[in-house]
Amino acid sequence: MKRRILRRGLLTALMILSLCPAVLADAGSTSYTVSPTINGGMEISPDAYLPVGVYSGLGLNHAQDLYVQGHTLYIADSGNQRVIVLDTQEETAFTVGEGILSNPQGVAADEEGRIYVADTGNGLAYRFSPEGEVEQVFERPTTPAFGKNTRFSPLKIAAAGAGGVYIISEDSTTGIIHMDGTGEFLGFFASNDVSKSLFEKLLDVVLTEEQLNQFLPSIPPSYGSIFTGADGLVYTINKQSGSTVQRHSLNGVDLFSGRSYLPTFDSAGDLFVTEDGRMLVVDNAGYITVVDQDGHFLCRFGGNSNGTERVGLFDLATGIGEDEDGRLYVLDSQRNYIQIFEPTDVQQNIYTALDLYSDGQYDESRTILESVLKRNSTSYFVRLYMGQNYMQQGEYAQAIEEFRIAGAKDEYSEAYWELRNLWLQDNMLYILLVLLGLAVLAVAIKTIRHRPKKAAATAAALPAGQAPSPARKLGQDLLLIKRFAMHPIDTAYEVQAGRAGSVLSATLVYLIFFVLYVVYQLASGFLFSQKAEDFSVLTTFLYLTAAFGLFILGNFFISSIQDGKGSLRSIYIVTIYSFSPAIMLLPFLTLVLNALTYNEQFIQQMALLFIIAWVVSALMASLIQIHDYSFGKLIKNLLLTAFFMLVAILVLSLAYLLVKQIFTFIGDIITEVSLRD
Amino acid sequence: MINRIKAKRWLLCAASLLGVAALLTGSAVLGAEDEAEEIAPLLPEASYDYTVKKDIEGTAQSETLLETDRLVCENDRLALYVDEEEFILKVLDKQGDYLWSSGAAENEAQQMTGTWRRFSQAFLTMDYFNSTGASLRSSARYSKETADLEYTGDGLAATLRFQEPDATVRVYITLTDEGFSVRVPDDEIVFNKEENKLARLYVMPFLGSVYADSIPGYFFIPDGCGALMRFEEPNTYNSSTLLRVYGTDYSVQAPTAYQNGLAPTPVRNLLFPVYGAVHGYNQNGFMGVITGGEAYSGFEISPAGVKIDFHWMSPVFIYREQYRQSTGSSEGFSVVQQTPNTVNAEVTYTLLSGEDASYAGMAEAYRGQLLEQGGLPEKQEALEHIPLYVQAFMADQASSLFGTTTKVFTTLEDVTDWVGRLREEGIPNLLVSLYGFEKGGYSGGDAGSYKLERRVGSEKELEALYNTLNTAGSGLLLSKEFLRAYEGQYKESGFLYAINRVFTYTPDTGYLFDRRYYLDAPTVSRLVESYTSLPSYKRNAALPGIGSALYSNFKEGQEMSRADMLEATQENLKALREASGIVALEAPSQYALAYADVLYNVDMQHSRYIFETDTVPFAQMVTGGHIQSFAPWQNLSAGGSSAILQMIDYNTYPAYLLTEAASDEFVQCHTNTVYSSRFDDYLQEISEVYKTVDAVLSQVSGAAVVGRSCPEDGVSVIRYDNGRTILVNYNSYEVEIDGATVPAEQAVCIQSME
Repeated sequence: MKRRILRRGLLTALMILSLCPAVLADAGSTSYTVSPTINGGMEISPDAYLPVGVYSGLGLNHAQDLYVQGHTLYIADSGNQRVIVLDTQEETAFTVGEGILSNPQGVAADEEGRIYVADTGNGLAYRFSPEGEVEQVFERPTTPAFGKNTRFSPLKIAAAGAGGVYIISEDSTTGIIHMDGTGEFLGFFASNDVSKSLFEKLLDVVLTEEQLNQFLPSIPPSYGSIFTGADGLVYTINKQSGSTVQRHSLNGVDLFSGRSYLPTFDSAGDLFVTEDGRMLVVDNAGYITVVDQDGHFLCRFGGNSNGTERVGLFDLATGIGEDEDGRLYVLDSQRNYIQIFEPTDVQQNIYTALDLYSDGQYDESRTILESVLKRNSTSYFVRLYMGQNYMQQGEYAQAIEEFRIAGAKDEYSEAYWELRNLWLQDNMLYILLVLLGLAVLAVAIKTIRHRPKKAAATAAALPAGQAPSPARKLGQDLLLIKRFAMHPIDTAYEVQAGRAGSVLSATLVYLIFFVLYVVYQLASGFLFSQKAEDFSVLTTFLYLTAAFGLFILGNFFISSIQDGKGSLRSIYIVTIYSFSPAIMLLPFLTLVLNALTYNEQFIQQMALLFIIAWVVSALMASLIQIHDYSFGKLIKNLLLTAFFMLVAILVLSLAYLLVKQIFTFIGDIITEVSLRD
Repeated sequence: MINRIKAKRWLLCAASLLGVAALLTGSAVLGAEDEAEEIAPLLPEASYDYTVKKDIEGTAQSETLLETDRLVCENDRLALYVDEEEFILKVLDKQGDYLWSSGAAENEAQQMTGTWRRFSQAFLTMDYFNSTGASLRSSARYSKETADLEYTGDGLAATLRFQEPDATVRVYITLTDEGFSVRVPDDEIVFNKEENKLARLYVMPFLGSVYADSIPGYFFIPDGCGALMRFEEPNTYNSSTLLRVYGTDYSVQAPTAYQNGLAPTPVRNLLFPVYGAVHGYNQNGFMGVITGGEAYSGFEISPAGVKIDFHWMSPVFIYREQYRQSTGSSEGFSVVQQTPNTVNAEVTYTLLSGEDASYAGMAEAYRGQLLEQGGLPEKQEALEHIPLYVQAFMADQASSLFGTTTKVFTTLEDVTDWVGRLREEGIPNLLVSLYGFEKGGYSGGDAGSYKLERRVGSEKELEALYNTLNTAGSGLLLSKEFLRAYEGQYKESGFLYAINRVFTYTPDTGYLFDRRYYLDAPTVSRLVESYTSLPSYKRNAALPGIGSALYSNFKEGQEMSRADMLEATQENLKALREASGIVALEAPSQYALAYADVLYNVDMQHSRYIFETDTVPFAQMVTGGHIQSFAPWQNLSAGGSSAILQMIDYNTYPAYLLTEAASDEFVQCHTNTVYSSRFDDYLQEISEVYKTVDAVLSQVSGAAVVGRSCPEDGVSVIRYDNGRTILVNYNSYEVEIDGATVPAEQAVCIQSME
């Protein structure tokens, strides 16, 4: 039995999915489609695209790029040194650049049908007319602005408008090369950031410039693919693992930077941006990912063929494009063909709903989303956008419900804030009246209480010389909680002297604290608590026991060495009683958090800080008292205790690893012996 | 003067050279344009969705007998000849006057290299393991002197030598009424060098083979519901594909673990040990049925373009496999299976001619053979309305605060309510199966336990529901796993062991468990025994897994080979059959068909290999009329109008997997791949889909298919033995077939002409 807890921000591609699902869902396809679901995971969803055909008779030879516009496919047929232009409606094709091109690795087109080719073999880029005649050759710029040693080896290309180009050069570290329609160099655009590891940062500080240049030339990674979207913005993606899609503004700033939810890719093969702004990324292994306009992961399907000859799976995918009708074309350079996918009704509805939402047609968007919800009740997206639609229309109560189901905490916070605002506005008068009433009541109670106090005190006093009954003692010790919080030093003294507190009541208080802690984790309102199914009571219990246990034992050992006067019993009791402030305040905090949003998160942080500070001071004060230390000595004691805890953990883990290793070793020997027989 | 003459000559030469050069360049330029046109692409092969392709046209030219061919024996239907020099078997179909050969067409064979040429001509080819564990191929060599030829009255026996491994194999060819059979007994396979071990045997790999598109026709592949591989121009492929009959044995070959990324959807199993070839649609064909060693057989399919330009498909028998034995957490070594499988290979061929020469003819012929052997139940009664299959998902294990808990999504009360509402909608026949009804839910319940989960309902409610549905055409089934188990559902001593000393398992997509285990035969028998003592209202069984998963057991002291497991499974199914009212099996293989009344989750497609050009409902045609077939859950499929048309086309009824609760309420459950299942959301759709399908298919209830053809793209015509014909039009425009008009995206049922 195992559990998985996946955080939405860190969408990794690491999944182990099966060959035999528990419920046989007929995929109708050769790969499963996964998309984010409401439990924070990535699960199988209705098929987004189905493979409908293959273009196999094109005579391709290791084609490296694909561009689609309207109904035309442009294929960089690198091995055959040409570009193929294929009209899928007329079903005709012609070649471009035969005899001219040497190793075309990138191809693009503009609205007028002019064809742009990046030829790595010749070190040139070309612009061809729609009929295939050379209009412009882009050569290595000679202006000083380009740099003396900068390489010009065009790998990928995109149209820049008015015949100009954006070129990605192989191993270029200076960014995207922008040239105008006449071949003049206009500048570099959007260089990649270098990300340094901690170690490298350390070396930065320590080594000299010369040594650094020798050691680690910090060259930014080069781009893998480039695309000019319909909005005129330039989209790029890098080849190395962990790269994300970048959308560059006109001055090269990445508009997507800082968004932690962006999906990451390992070895991206190609990128395509649809008219509506959706991004399609195919990686070399053959997985096709659809990303929405804001960078959210919509779905992923496809995969590697693993040597089998199945449709819809790839050996090495190097190109992707979408035509006017929404069909996907994906190029497999190893198997030399183009696979065609068509979106299913469900997927098309999702796209339509998202577009309607961006257009502000919230009602229509919701209607379509409802029909999608019927076919996929677990989709995170559908719930999120239903909620967004409700938000835009001011239906906050319904928006909250959708966000709660989706688990979208940020959006829930916003909706809750609106809802609470409205509630406060409506009920402000009543609230004030209630507060006034409570204030009056409090004053009244105080005045009444003063008088019978003396009488109660005498009644509560016991006849002298009689030990209190166990239940009574228990009750008194529980009341210690309040006293300890207010007067830690005095109460600690009494504990040490044996006059207050007992092991049994302390244990009870430990349990109370544990329960309150769990309640705090789970019941602080949707925004501030964890999900019950993801929370493991057992694990929490073990952690807390280990923490407390190690502290108490450690403190006892260290203080025995350091002439501390506290007994194990006192330390045990005093430790938990110093958590009294937490015990008293956590329930209130839990209640209050139920009414807060992320805007007021600072309240939570401050409250926790306050509680922690109080607890720590109570603990320190009581330890000083029972060990009879000075303040300085206590600090020393605490540091040594912390050290002891660390060492204990280290030793225990080493012991565990050692024992485990021994068992594995013995197991391996037995297996090997029995098999070699 | 002389200079001028010389100059003139030179001029003439130059001019002529220029002229030639101009001509050449001119033709080159024109030729280049031709080249540009040559790359006009092939049409996208839209055979992966439900669109049907027009039947193949064209006549097949037969080969002719050579002088070296000697008649072995003959009857009214066919004659067997053998080429005594090369040992190539030739079969003359007297009805169609067509000659089949076990060797490749001579002309084209000349172009192949030595090893391939021998492979294409040899009667048998083997793969064997040498002393270092490497797999090598050797084709049989034949010499008249050492062949020990024996002409029996109805056949021929010969010993073939394999030079490289130094082995001999004796093969027996016998004439039958409709064809012939080829048999290779295990004890007559002799390896003179002990270190060489037989791995695989190919029997007549090139029977039916075609060079590129020289003969119009196809191979039939029993992949999923059925696939055709048309003989087309060569294409680029990585390699040929070997498909195992009845699926891979996961006790020998561990399933692939997909670490980084998603796994592809499962490859469909080969449900029948049958293949066939058609040369000329409705002209000539044959069907090959593996009648000996099915559990260890497979088919190797090689379309033109894999190394050679021939399309060939061959029955393959597997004697030994190579598997990975892990010795530690990450180490391991490759081991060759020590004891070979007991195969006793036999393939029986049936000739088909004229109207029978198509996959439909194969289905009919195969159905006849199965009925004779008792492999198919008797014909079912015709019903006035087709049944609807509803699987109600009751409960499952979910992760919770304190470990796992059982979550209930549907109660018996809900199901009773559904039945009422469905009947009100006009759906009279309902097969309702309860899934996850047991205590602990689907993934938490004990294997063999039929105790109801308390919150699902009471025994009384169950009995009442059973009585409501206990009418002709309806029924209440309990879905229970008899073969598969998750951790904790049964004690480990009952699990199957794989050859490399771990439990046999298949990876699982669910939320809580990542592996699924299998129970061994004695355990299954015990579960079946306790089943027989259940009250009658619990004895209609829906059985997933047991009809299709066939794995051997390597547990010390309880070893069971795949063939033995097949027999044991059949016995268990027989016992279940005898103790039950209705038995429903999930997408079973051929060996389980005799014990089923209902098949559910039946494949509606094949594994989608790129060389499979057509999808054909072979499985449904074989079982139609005898066993009811239900399509995969419509709420978990892509759906759409073509899905409905395909159900009508394949004579498969609609089925749904439903819950009362919306599926977002059970995301934390183990079975979290059900993304859409709420009954209230689907009632309307169910009613519409049912009525559309029922209107047509109710008229052929209880009838078997006698023919299926596709006169145009997107149109299929299916003829039944009760005199009715169904026309299905997948196109978005009206079509007229034989006087009947079929509107766009609809199907009609008419009385046949005859």
